[in-house]
Amino acid sequence: MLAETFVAMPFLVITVEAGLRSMDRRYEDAAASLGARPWTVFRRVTVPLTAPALIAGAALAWARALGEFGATITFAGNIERRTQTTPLAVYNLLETDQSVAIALSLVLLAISIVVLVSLRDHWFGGLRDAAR
Amino acid sequence: MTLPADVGVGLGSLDLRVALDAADGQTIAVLGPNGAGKTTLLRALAGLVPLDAGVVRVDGEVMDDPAARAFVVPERRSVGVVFQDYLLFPHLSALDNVAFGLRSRGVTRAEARRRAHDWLARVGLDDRAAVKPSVLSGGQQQRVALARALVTEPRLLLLDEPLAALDAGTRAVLRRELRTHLATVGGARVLVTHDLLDAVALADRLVVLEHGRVAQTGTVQEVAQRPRSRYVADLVGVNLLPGKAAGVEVTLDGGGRVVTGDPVAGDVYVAIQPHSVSVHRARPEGSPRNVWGGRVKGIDLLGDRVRIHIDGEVAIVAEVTPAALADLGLHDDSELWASVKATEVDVYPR
Repeated sequence: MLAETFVAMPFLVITVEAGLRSMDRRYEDAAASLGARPWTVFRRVTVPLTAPALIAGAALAWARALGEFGATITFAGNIERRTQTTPLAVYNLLETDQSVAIALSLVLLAISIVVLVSLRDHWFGGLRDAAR
Repeated sequence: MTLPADVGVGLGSLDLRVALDAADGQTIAVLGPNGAGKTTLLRALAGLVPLDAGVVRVDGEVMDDPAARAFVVPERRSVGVVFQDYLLFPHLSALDNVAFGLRSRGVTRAEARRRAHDWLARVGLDDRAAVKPSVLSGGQQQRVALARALVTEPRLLLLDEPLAALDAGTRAVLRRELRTHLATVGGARVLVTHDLLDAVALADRLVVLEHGRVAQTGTVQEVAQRPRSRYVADLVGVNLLPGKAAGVEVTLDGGGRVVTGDPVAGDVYVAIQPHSVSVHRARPEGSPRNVWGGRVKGIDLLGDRVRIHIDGEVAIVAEVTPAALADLGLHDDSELWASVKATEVDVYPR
């Protein structure tokens, strides 16, 4: 878990940071002028306005953690049902039951495609905005 | 509910020093060119920019006084702001936008929604309560922004170019509406604009801001009749000629002389209304005391009036009817004579 957090966290941080940067901070000024305390501003304005970046960052971090191999096997080992990630299971299965290993890797592939497709707008939308 | 404020803010290249005063129910219009510091002034009054010097009081309560290390954060001030591009929260419905200020101040959800609904009805948008700002027209967004700022009954209302983002037709309608709404609520108001019409329609007094300083202040009529800077003169469409007076004769700084009705002395401004300037193809004989030769530099159509920019002994703008222009057969570079009666010349000390 800890190892995966270390590996995956930068994806979340970078995406959320970009989201915060692109947000118009004057919305927070508007909220303050309406009497909202800093915590209320954060909860009712900052978080909702950066929600797309938060969701995208979380999905990215989750996808990265799902496919984690190196850090897990180095620091947590490869104990079945406890520290074994899917790629580690694929690694094990490759030596015993190849067809299950292929099925499992196809599942991983499918998940990564779903994540990519569902986040397509977020990235390419961002590119379009930047090109404008 | 009064606002005495003495605002001093240094921000980048802007050095703002402005004294401002607004009584309850009074609207002060702050007029000035881009970059004069108008928006920064509003942000300082709202507490979004701390003062470097001076003091801001609302109803005698100190809001900001750097000398005494006193500063009230924006959320604790009774200030409503209508921002230039409204800044309606895009993720909230029109109703929730209006209710935001009440909810933030601890009003219960039901009560906040009821009062927000009342205000939406007042601005004629009760049937649009559930929709997001992005589907509202510019005029409707402006109404929601006004309702959002007024629902908390602020003691000070700040309006930053509230009509600038609208097309001409909508602007006229909303200017009238804004006037009606402002008349029904208490508190002092500061309106930032660069449109003289807004100031004429909405404000009791005018403060002209240029390069972070007050260039002129007074009622709209005073400022329009006796401008004290090129910016104001252009804004109100008056010929402003600085010069040195001796008796009834003023020697202009830009060259040329003007004869006035009343004798004055010293450094003065000469103000001549464009419609007081007559134009002729031949040098006029007889009564006018001021006659200058020149050429047409440009011709503007202004509603049912034509403005002729004349370059010559004295650079001046004349206003005539389109029929008169056609009679004279004037076009760019035509030679002509301009004349002004001495009694039509207004002179006042600089």
